Amino acid sequence: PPTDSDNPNELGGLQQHQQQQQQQQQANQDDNWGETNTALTGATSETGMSADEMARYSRELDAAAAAAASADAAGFDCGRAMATVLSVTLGLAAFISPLVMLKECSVACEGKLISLAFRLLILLVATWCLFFRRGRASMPRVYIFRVLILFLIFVITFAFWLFYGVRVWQYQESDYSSIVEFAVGLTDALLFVHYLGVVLLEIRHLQARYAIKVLRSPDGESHIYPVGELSIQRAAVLVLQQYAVDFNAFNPYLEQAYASARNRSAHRRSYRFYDVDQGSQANGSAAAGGDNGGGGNGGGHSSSGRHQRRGSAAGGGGGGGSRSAADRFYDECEYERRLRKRRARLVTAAEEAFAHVRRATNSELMGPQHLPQHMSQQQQQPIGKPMSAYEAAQTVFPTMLRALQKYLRITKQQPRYTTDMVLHHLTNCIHYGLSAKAFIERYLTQGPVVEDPRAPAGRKRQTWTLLCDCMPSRSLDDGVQFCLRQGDVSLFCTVKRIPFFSLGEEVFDNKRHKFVLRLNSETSV
Amino acid sequence: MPSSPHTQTVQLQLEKVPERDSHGQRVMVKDSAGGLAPKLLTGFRFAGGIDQDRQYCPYGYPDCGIYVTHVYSGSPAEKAGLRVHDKILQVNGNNLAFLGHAQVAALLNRETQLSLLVHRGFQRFTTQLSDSLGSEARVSASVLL
Repeated sequence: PPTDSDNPNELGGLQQHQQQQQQQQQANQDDNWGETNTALTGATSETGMSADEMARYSRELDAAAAAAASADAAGFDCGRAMATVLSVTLGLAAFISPLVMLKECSVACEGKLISLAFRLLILLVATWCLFFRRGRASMPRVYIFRVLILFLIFVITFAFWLFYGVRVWQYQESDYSSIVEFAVGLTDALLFVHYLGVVLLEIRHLQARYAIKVLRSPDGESHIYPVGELSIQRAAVLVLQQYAVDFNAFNPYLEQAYASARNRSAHRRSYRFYDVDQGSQANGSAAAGGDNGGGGNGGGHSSSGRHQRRGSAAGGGGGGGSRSAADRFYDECEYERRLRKRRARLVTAAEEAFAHVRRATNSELMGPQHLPQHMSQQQQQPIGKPMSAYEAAQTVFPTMLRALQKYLRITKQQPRYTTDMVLHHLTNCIHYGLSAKAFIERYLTQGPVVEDPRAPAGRKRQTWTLLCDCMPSRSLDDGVQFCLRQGDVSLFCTVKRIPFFSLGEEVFDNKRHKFVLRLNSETSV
Repeated sequence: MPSSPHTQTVQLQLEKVPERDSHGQRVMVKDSAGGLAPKLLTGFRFAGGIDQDRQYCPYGYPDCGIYVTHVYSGSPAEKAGLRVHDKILQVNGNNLAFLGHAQVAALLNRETQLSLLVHRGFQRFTTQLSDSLGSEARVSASVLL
């Protein structure tokens, strides 16, 4: 996790000198008090990461990186490579066997030979289509169906070679057409095994039987997916694929916003307690009143007013440890309100910025001698010469920079995007003629996991741990639970069976299917 | 705006007819005096009353007056000229404006000969709504003019 000093390209770092007047946000002012400052949390950025938290995070990241690196350092994952090599060898041996069994041809068996050739071609194409794909995942236990298919291929090849060796070599079978039929038989058997492979590996799990509810641990977001008959490990792979697309990216800074904001501002806002003994938090009821709510940002006036009010109200109550429900509710309402205000400002700023830019017409591209003809359209006169999309992006970017920055701050996304990334995105939007709302869509929400530019352990390869009570090669059943873990994020999955539906039929009889009006009071006289 | 329809207020005279069952015999009911009296039919259905919520009426009558909702064919009401959606203002000189539904029913059942003051003018007409996008929606509205 970066701090502002580490990564000067970040938005926060770039505009830091503009934030001097927001005193309560700048932790740098603590440096001015260096000789008397023994603050327990050495927070150096507004994201709220203190030194010990940083150490904890870096340790976890190092552990995850080491695990990934050990697999990457060797160039490939040994377990995966072994399985691939074995299956490729076996498949190749089985495929070449019919060809090797043949000798020189005669006229009578040409039909069979042609059909043999076509069957081999179909087998080749089908095998390439189905089995020569990049694997999606490597699983902890043996993939039973794949082993079954490989075993069948091995048995068939072995049996055919056995019969071939006995009949043709030992007993010198001279009828060539029967040898060709033998080879055709082997090809047929391989084709049927391929069919079995398709059904077992690809089709069996397509019909939905179970619903897996996936619950993410630190923030409680959940989704539910229908799956078919699968083993637990294959279901876990499916869950991870859906997780990458459906879930919002996990932002650990959002979780700490409440806790650290309270502690930090308790230090800054009120007078401090320095405990000589270890382990003191921001205790004392006077310190409990300082809470910035939500993201801990925003205009100083309203929050300072609130501090005074809250200090008197909550002073008598609990200390810095527990937070009452009313406090949480109030904080969340305030956060929502400020979030909506900043979002409105961001949308307005983006629309103004995009209004400045439009695609150059042909006459503008041609040169300045055509300009006098457009004098009547005063508001649409171009300013300057036509420029590339990147230059246009650079020109209009400062108008919305501040609004975008403040919005990213309040949603705790500013460690995620650098100025270059934002400029690149803006260039793309201008280049393709997208609107302002399309541009800011990326920044409005946390976005799906697969688009998170700072996903842990890289984008190509991720390491997850599967925790399960029973063996992962067992197939799914109602009530099975398993957990997938990567660092801080835990995905808890529960399997429920989708019930059997018994559909009935109801027929409309047009003669009896009539309607009458309903009046609340109608009397017949 | 369509042209104003024909509204009128008419006075109708109605003679009730005794109800006959499937064998042609008169149906007798107990009357207030304790004896048996033939049951008399008028031959229409009405809705409304000061105590009714007119939002529950599908016809969309504009007020809580007594409206005829159905006239049986071949009945004295039809012979007298009563039509559906007529509003009954007076029965034998009694004003129905502030009577509830049950009271009106009792009043109509009590009398043998009815002299009805009826207002006729309820009409359904259709309007066309066209919004700026050019699509048209037909709305059927019931208005008492």
